[in-house]
Amino acid sequence: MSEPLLRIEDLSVSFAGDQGVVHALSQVTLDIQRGRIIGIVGESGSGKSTLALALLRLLPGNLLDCSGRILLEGTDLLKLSQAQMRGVRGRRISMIFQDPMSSLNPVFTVETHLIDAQRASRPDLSTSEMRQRALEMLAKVGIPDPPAGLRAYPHQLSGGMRQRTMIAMALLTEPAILIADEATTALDVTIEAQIVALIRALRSDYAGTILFISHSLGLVAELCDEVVVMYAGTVVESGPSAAVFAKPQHPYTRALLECELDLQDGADRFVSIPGEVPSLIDPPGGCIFAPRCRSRFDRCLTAPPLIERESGHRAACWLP
Amino acid sequence: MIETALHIIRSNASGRFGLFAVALILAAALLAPWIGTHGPNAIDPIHRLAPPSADHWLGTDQLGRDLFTRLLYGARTAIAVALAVIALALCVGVTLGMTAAYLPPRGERLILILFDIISSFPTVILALALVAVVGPGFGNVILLIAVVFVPHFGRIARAQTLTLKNSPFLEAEIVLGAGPWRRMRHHVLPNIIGPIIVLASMDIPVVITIEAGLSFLGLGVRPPIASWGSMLNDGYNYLDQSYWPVIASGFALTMATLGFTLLGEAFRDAIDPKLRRQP
Amino acid sequence: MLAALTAASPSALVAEVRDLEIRFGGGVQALAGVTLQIPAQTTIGIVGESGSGKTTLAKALVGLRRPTGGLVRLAGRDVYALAGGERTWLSRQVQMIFQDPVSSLSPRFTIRELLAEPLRIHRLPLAEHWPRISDMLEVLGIRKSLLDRYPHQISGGQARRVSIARALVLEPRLIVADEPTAGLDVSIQGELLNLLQRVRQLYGPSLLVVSHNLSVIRRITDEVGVMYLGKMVEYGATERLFRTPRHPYTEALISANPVIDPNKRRAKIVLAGEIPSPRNPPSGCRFHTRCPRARERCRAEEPSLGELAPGQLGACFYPVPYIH
Repeated sequence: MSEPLLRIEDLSVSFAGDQGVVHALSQVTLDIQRGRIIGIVGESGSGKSTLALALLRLLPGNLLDCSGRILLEGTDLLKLSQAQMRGVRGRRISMIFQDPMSSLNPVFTVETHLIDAQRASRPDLSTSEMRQRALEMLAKVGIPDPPAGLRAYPHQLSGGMRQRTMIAMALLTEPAILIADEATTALDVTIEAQIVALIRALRSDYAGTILFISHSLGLVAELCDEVVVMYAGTVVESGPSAAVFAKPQHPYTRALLECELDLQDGADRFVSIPGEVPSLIDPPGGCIFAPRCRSRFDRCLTAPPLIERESGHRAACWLP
Repeated sequence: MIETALHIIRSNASGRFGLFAVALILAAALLAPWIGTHGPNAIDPIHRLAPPSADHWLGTDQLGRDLFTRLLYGARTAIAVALAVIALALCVGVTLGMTAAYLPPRGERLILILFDIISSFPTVILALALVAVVGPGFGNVILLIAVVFVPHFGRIARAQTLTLKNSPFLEAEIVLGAGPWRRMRHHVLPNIIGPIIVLASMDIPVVITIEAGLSFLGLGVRPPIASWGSMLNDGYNYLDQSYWPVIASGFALTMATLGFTLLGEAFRDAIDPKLRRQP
Repeated sequence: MLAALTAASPSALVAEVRDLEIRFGGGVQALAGVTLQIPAQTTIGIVGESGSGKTTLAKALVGLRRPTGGLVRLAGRDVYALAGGERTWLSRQVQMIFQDPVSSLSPRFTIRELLAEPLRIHRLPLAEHWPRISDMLEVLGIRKSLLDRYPHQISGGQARRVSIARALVLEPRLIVADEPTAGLDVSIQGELLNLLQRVRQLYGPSLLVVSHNLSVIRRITDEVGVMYLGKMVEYGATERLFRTPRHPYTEALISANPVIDPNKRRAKIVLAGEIPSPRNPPSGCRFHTRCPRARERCRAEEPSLGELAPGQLGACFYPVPYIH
């Protein structure tokens, strides 16, 4: 396999919390190839958003430690200076969030946002060229009347249109990686379907990789080529979507899929995973899922490594 | 929370001064009978308007009463009036304000018009006019200054109630069958009273000044009760014979208003930085 | 509604909503004539997106939104014509589980006080308080150690149980649940659904579940209504409606729901355009601006709710053909 676009090695992140050190990510190791849509799924507290913020080095101020390596085309992002990192953010890696209003300035029009987004990455373009690109991009992301779209202020747009604008803004800089962090979660189902269709359609034009972070297994199953399953700050399973959803290798993935109502037969009892997500302040030693795992045994007292089971399909579990 | 608030107050200079001044005044008010070197109304016709001495630490007034002792008792009057006024205005104002928020538009407007009428007069003028009608005296002064402050607390209470009124937990109480009074008393009040009390503490120095002003004009507490305002007035009348009465009572007033204001501001900043006044 | 079709006697109805219309200030028409009948011991689901009016319908049923037209009846009595003192009667008929459990609990009350509150309001003898509360703790699995905590000190899952307990303790005949699983992780969603089933078995109330989660609605309801811009566009027995939706909006909504199993996926129907504002709903059929089947007639004329298939009501001139 060729050199991956992004290689994450032993990434660990911890924060200072009120009650102690929060281990938000523990030794995350991942290879991400070019031109793929990668789904990162996990429940609240799984560390999926922390992972995204770590890639951009936008971790909050109570950060204690961020160790390991994040290699973007061979460059370790964790070793870059703040100034060099600014050159990565929004240009090599762009991100869209659940709430687009948080990244749009209410006093500026969409035009200002879209032109400013290009200034740093495309100093060779004149303002009118940038405006032209902005218009084309708005059309591409499905804004019905691009010139009117440019003139609009963020608050005049609906949630779906705002998210389209955010995608346009993120893509104008032609980033190598586009991170979508729960980007469709706040939208209505039919609007979510539009955005997902848009992301799928963009693949033909956009050469980069999309990291699609979501709590929805269904969305990830439908949209993504590969999926990374996270639990309590660790990657428990990763691999091609079809394989992971058809033949999950980790007991957590299996248990999570069993909880999906659509996959249950009409039995009277609903399935849930007993127990609670472990506290990240003092995580249990060994396999982090062991306390809730039906198949735990002696070996689970030591943490299992992420081992390749089949081509590209890895799981962190001692069970064969 | 109180501990961290105290810590923050102590960490800035004006807060420290406020705390010190207020502590001093409270101690004076509480301990007046024990610290006082004479009786507050003990007349000594031989030593009228005497300068400070070993016997009379700050000298005496025109009747030969010990100024130091009267200053301590004046603190009692000031604090008692201030607390009573604030407490009364708070009770009435908050009740009216919450009720206004829950009344149908017509009733609400009636209460708001009442507030507007009261606050359309300058504070001191209104207090003066009211005292002129009902006459001076300890109780009347408290009552009338309280009237002046009711709209202030009433409006804040109404605004706070309106922001809470449609919150899910109050809707949940409606569905459980709780009537408006129960909702106000048990669910609205505990959630709005904290910030209002902080704001009320900032009004203590204003009340002290108004009381002193009324007493200065002879419309406040009746003699022989010691009040810094009336002491100041007496002092003016005999300024050509002794400046000590004016200096003593003026200093006390300044310390009290400055102390309470600075402490109140520090307290407010510590509890809720969002309430901070724009510079 | 179906109950009417299947000729249930009106006295067996727990609640009835007729031609309900609710307008808010600013010209927002949240509900534009909705009719619904809730028979005893039935679970009814309401699905819809923003602006559909589903939450307004829920709140109107519990007495929180005064109609500008139409009727809300509980146990045969007009909810909005009750005398002031009859509010307590109403709260024994119907209770609500609010969407955000933590913010629906009074923040300065302990869990113990919150659980006792309904009993106090209804002046139940003090001797009955603890037995009833401890029943609730038992049924809903609320830990006793939480009793002296405040709402913000307990987990979202526990707060949800407390809010169900408060709704249940008066043993109402109807419980309205607004997005009961919103914000819950999939791995614990099942626990809550089991809890709702248990409540149904033990106390037998009717349930009206408002949700945008189609999977949940499909699994727990007997009948389901689909709302769009303040109107009921389709109504029917749940399984049948999910299998063979007749209204194009229902069909699109179901197809938009992501599916994990590739063998169960249907072709996606991606609706064009935005959900119009309820301030300014489209003429004719409100869905015509986004409807893939819309024709000239849909722009001009508003379809009424009629029987599109046996036991399935829909408001559409050109419904989705029935496929076996």
